Amino acid sequence: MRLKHILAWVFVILFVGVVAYSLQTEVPFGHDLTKLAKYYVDNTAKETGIPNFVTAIVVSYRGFDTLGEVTVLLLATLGVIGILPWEKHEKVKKAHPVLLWGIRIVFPIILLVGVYIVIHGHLTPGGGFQAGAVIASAFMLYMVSLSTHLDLEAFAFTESIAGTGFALIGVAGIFAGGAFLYNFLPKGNLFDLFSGGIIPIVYILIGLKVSSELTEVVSHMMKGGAEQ
Amino acid sequence: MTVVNFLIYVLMGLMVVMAIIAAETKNLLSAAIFSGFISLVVSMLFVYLQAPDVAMAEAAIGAALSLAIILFAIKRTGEVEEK
Repeated sequence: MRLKHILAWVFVILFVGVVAYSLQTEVPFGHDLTKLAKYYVDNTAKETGIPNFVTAIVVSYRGFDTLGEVTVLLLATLGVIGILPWEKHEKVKKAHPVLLWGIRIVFPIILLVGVYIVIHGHLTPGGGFQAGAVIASAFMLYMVSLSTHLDLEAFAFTESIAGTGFALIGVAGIFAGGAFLYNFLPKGNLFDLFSGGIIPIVYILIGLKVSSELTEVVSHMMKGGAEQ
Repeated sequence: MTVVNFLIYVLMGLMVVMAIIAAETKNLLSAAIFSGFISLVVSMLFVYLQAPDVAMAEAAIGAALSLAIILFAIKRTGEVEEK
């Protein structure tokens, strides 16, 4: 038992030492681009019409992989719901007033930050997945403090609409341009909010889907399973 | 060594200390909170390494959602680790 602990400490310290050493050698950022990275840096703005490389790769160059990714998240959510189901209990416990009022002030701000991140997903860092996690954490705080039962039906509806919308936009690309998830809308000006064709629309749909799925996961983890 | 590099070393040392506390403490509540702090520090390091996307995901998922899920599990099973 003691030996295991000491070994774990040694591993942690060794790992941090390696990372600290590699930081000390001052790896220059942005240099020694590989061929693929160079291609993205040179051609992303021209080909997709958006300045954010990460979003361009996630939604445009590797859009099909992202569809698979949100499907994996859907399956995980279904697994959690299947293992820990919950129905509406009628008893509602009031939280402490400090928590209650604190969250009444903080909740809209967190929600606003999440919506900002998802709407500017093609311009600034972040996007559907990050915003989904932020919005889900806002709803988690809401559930913890107010102890009211969120209408999970609404989240399930939003989730299915967003997922279907993503797939339908992909299919529409087949008819408009001959490829799944083809960017068939006009690209607009670089750095404009309304630019990039289908990329912002798809990322907003991903944001809706991820946020509702994570909210359902958290609420089932919180209240699901056997009655205590 | 610049000031920023010094801060990075301080953050990393803090991470090691918090990881050891989280692994060694018998109080599961504080162990969970310390692991959430580790996620927060990791997200700061991601910002320094110029990966703001990953930093956002780490801060929201690691420090908020997974910590909350662990806390819900602890609430149901008891706060103190037994032998």
